[in-house]
Amino acid sequence: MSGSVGKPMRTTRYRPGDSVRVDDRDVAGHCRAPWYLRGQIGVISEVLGDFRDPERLAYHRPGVPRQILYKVRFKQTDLWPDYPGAARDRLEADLTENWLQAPVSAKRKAKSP
Amino acid sequence: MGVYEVMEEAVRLLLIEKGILTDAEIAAQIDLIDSRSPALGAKVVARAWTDAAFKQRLLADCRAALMEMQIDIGQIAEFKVVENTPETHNVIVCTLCSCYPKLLLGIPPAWYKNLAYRSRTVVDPRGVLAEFGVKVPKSQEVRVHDSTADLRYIVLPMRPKGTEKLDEPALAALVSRDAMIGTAIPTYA
Repeated sequence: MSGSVGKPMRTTRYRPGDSVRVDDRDVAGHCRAPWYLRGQIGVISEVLGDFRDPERLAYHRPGVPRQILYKVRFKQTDLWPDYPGAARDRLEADLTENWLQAPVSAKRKAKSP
Repeated sequence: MGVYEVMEEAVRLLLIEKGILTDAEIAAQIDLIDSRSPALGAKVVARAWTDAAFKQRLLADCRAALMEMQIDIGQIAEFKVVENTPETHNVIVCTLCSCYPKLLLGIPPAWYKNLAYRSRTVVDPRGVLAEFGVKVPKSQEVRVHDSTADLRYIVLPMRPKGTEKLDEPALAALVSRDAMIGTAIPTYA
């Protein structure tokens, strides 16, 4: 992505194919990690760029430190125990690096969607 | 006048009074927003259907590809095109608010901003799509894109069968707004 909104990439913590767990911290105020993804394990599908942090921009701050933005892919059947669709269905969301962690235990590691 | 109308007018008049914006700039921006409609997105889809090299550029770098068509998406957000294939049907939602690619599709439909669409599309996308008349076979993945950050998504639908002889304007006429959200599939009788 070459736009002027997303600046050229610095070193990213995760690469496509990496498993990540969305932090499940509680945040007061403006937050861009939807509740239904917190604590869930997904796989990086794409590194989208380097953006100003929207959670700081929302309070008229400069949005630094900038955040690497990732497209993260989740299995729908992981997100919803009663998911009525097909096992192959996926959901992708755009999440900033400060919301992602390496999954803690191998037991919780997601299969590559 | 509701509270938001009063607030809008107060802020707008202050911005003009303080010399931050002019009447003319505000009017020009309203004209620009009004000039955007799904017809613009449909033109882009038709170009991608007829020009494979353009399609690749569009998928790889939407901003640059749109500039080739004299479409400037501005500085508010990046755009990304996701391609429907026989393996994958894409559908766009914004669960947190109502992010929408206005510069390509115009003003969003009311249902897109509705809590029911925003919450149900992530939980039961096949059910929501069926209500729009789109039956996705279980052999095809449904991929929901929750646009939670700085990207605005547009679905590139599959070109309908039997349209080999149509030119770009005729193809564009087949592409509805909903087809570019993922809640419709273009057809050709």
